Amino acid sequence: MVAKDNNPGCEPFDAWVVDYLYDELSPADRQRFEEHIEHCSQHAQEVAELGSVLKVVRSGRAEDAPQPVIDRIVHLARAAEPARNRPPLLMRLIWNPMAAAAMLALVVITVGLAVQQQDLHPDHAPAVDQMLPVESPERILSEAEAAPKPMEKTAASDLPASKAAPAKDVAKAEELVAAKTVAKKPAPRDRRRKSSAQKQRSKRAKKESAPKAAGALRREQDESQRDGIVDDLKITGGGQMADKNQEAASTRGALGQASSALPSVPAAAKTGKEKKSDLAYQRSPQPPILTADLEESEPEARPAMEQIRPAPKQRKFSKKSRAQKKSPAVSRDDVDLFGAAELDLAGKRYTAAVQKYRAFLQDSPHDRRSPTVHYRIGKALFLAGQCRQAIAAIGRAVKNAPGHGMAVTALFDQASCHIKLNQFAQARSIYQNIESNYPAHREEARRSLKRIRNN
Amino acid sequence: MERLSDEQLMARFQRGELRAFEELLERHRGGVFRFILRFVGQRETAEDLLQEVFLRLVAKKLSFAQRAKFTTWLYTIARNQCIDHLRRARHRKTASLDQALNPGAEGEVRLMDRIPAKAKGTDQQAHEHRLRKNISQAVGELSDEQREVFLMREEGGLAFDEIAGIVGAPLNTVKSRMRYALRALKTNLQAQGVEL
Repeated sequence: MVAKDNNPGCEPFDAWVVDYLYDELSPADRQRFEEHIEHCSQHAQEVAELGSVLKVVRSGRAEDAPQPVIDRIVHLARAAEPARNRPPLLMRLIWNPMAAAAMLALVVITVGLAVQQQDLHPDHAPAVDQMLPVESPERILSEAEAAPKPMEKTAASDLPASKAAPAKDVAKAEELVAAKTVAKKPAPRDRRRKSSAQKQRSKRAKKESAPKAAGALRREQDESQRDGIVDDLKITGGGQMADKNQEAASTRGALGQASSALPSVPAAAKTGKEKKSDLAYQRSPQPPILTADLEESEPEARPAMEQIRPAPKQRKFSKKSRAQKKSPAVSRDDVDLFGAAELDLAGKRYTAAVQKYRAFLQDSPHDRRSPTVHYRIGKALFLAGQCRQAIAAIGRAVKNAPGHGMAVTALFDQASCHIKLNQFAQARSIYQNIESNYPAHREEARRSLKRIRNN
Repeated sequence: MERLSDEQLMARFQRGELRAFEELLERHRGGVFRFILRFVGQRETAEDLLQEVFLRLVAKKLSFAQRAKFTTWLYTIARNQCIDHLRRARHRKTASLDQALNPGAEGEVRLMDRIPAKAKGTDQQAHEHRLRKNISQAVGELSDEQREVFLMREEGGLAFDEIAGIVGAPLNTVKSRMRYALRALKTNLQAQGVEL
């Protein structure tokens, strides 16, 4: 037996026993303690016995988390950490040496060709026009003047997404031509912006003569380009917002202000907060799908996509519906069917989970996980609010494996379903069944019975 | 390759490197799992809580302050999860412990099925299995305060001052709890016939 701490003169060393066992005494203190236990049988015995307890406890430490659980965590973490974490396309290109070299080579060749063309044909304006950037006013003007308006509209609307880049140019050219000819009808692309631009154009057209119009048009073109940049910002705004949120949160974390999980938070106050944080986890800022799409799309297709999908306001990204926030259902190819169903269940995609569980049962009816799968189906249906189906599924599960670890919980769920359906007699019967057949849960069943006794 | 500290990995994960999270998970899966398992006494629950802890880590990664120690933060989350679970299922606690120790129970059978077979003799496996059960029971019989200190130290490898910070108790109190926990474990193990 470990000696009691009643030996006078030993008390100061009591506090050192644990430190000594964990080798956390300073060399001097350690030497003092060892000198002490040479003469103190009580502390010597205690050190020996507690040391052997530690040895035994550590010898039983062979258990590890099952690999399927770890795989599931990684899958769920991936689902919760989507493409937002990938660097932007430009950064990826810069970091990729091959891509960077190819980009540099392309730029050099383009510039070289342009210079060469200018040297060879200094008076040949069309050749230079073709080398001009897409957004250059000269090119837009020339194209706009060359092509009739209705045809341009048709062509723009008929173009596929990836090929629709010129449509923006055409639309801009339309605006410019319209301004030049004092057209009254605004272009349909962005009515809000066009309305103010239209007023400016009308005023300018009334006041200014035709030669002056070219200067105004260039200014307008500049404005259009600036607006285009604003559009870009709007479209990528969600991602940037997420980044800014990250930065802000990091700053808060660095200041020690965002320490909800840190020691100072009392455990009792945690539950409510953690529920909130659960919700926050569901609501965590997800990158806008549009941004991800754009990052993955070809650079030249980007303006076209912007045009096809009108730039939403920033806050729309942060107010996505729950359905949008849910990660997509897990593919059957990602993990085995059971694992995929488990992931769907954890991700609250109950219908998908039920489908996969049922498919699993069809594929492997004699698998050792079959009883669990029956219960999982019941659980998923219960959580999905499909009470009648849940009652039937749980009934089958309990009938097949009444001693299963999930049986009691499932029975409580089944009773809850009956209560939701105002079937109190059935619920009462289930609670009585739990009371008589599952002694460990007798009290809980009795409390549940009390709750519904007046119904 | 240089081995990064947990805090460095966490910083990388905060910047979006999922691989850093996977490394953290790999490093701490065993410790956190055993901490939870011995805290709640049920393997299936421990698996669910392990998942919950690491997903909480993902969700709250931005609230991790770089000056904090990662393990302190991680085990704070794990402890809070365990406490919440026990609070929710307090009336089932005794039954849960009994269930985990009952070799005939469904959960226990599936447990052992899941433990990968190693190249050990059947006797040795049986002995280790029995010993693990004895330890689980002995730990389960500790008071909550003693158990959490013992598990954080033994399974999490946390220093006593870190544990003191997590549980909100003075350092000497934590060491006392540890000492009494070891004494209680000795008594509990001996009562089960385990030779020390």
